[in-house]
Amino acid sequence: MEKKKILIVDDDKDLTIAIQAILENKNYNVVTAINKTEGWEKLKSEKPDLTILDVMMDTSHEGFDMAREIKKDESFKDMPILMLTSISDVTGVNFRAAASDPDWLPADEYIDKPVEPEELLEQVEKLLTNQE
Amino acid sequence: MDLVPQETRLIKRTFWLINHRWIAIGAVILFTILAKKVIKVEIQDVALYCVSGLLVIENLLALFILKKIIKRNPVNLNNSVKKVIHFQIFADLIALTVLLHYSGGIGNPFFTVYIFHLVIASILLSELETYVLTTFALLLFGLVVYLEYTGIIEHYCLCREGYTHQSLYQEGTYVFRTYSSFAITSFILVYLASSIGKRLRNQENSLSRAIEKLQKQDAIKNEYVLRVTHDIKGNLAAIQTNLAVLTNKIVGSLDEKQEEFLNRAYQRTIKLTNFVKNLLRLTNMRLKEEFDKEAFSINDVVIKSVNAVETNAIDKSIKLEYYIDDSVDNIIGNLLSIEEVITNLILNSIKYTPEKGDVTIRTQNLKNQVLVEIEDNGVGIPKEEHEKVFDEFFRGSNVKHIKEDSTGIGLSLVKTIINRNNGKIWIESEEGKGSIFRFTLPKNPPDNN
Repeated sequence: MEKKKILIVDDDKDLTIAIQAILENKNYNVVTAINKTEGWEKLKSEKPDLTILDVMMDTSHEGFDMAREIKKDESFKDMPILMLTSISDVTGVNFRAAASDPDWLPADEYIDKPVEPEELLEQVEKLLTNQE
Repeated sequence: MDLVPQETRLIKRTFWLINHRWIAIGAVILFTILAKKVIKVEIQDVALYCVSGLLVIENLLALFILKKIIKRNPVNLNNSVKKVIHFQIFADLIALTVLLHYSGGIGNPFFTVYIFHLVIASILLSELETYVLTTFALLLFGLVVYLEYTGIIEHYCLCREGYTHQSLYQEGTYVFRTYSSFAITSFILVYLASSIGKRLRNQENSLSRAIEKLQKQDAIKNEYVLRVTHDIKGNLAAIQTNLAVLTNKIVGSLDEKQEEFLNRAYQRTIKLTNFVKNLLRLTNMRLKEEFDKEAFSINDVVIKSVNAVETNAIDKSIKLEYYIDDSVDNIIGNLLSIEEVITNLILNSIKYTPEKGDVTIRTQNLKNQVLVEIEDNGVGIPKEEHEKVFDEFFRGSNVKHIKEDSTGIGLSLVKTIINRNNGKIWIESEEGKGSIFRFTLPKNPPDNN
């Protein structure tokens, strides 16, 4: 079976490398990007099966912006997005509860930082299975 | 102390003035009846009733104008309200002078009533305004006394029926002495009252400014804490995830010693992350000005919270039960934060209850509130520490050595949330026997949280 490809877009390289290790250990093919611009380049060149997006990068909502753009793009709108966030502590918004409103929060799932390997893999597997 | 803007204070005092005028009008009518019917004094009762009637009109007019001003809420509210006060005090002084004229002029000892008006003016108005008013009052009174003395206007004696008329108002020395001593007394009184009033006003203003400054500084501090803790949390998230990669043996196996040390570091990082998360929630809760509110069933929240923490109870073989009062109505509040409160309190009880203990949650319908209580038969809290339980970073003296993973923020967060939802929380506990945490939440909280 062909390896599934996952794109991680996060400006925290130390966190990205750890997430990459967790995913590669489960035989996923991982590509990374450090911001929205590079994220789009990798999306187009690598055509991943799933994207893991950090909410806060250069701006506090760059991840949300990118997710909205992805969901509007014909070639990528069906690709699942997993949002990484610690922003709920700052905004007081419960992302899981708000996730039912796709116009406002265009991601498919959310996990809080720090990332626990078990939870991450569970969500990734779930999203990829749903897609099939 | 409440922060009362100067304008609000002025409006409140104006209403106070209006309310007291009703009492004064009542007193004039009562005294007139008493003088005429009981003491049998020859009194110009018709004239006095007429003046009382005019005072009633003045008061109604002042009330009407004041309410209109507040409703319109123009920019210079202060000036408009002051105009109403000026109008009232001037009208009062004229009315008082007419009343005195019809009730014996300088022969009526009640001419000292002017002093009430001067004291009120000293409290409500500026020093200059008060002196102008005092001069006006003395000129008015002086005019009546002079006109009566010279016989230009009639003098109405305040004498009992059948007694000879007193003629003090025509004795030049008496009139001069009485009038001048009253004038001097009035000015001294106004001087004293104004300077005390001014001092009090200044103190009040500087106190308000100090409170405002403190509140601003507190908000700045909270924002600072928010930024710092957020940065700390970002770094911690990277550390914790990297440690998780190692302890989960994702990048290779570890020998026993390596695993032990890494696990220690990992566990402490988790603890620190939780601490920082709670601190962020607490600070955020304090900074947030508005809360989303919705109607929800507190019973449902209790059931949901119990289900969420059930495994924690099972791990310690603790009997976790709930008794819900079916008559509990829906309440209006911030659902997510209240859910957090209940979950936190249950977890807290489980944490401090030994194995095979009991944790019980109950809800109860009160008149305008709902009551929730979480009871355990755990370690309890010493009585002298009950008040400190909700303080930040507080940990009970009897549990400090038992539990390593407590942050001392959880209950502080709980209290902040309950306060923000206009509720109350308190504790009943006996060391060694257990604790009951009780909180109430209003069914329909006021909007201004």
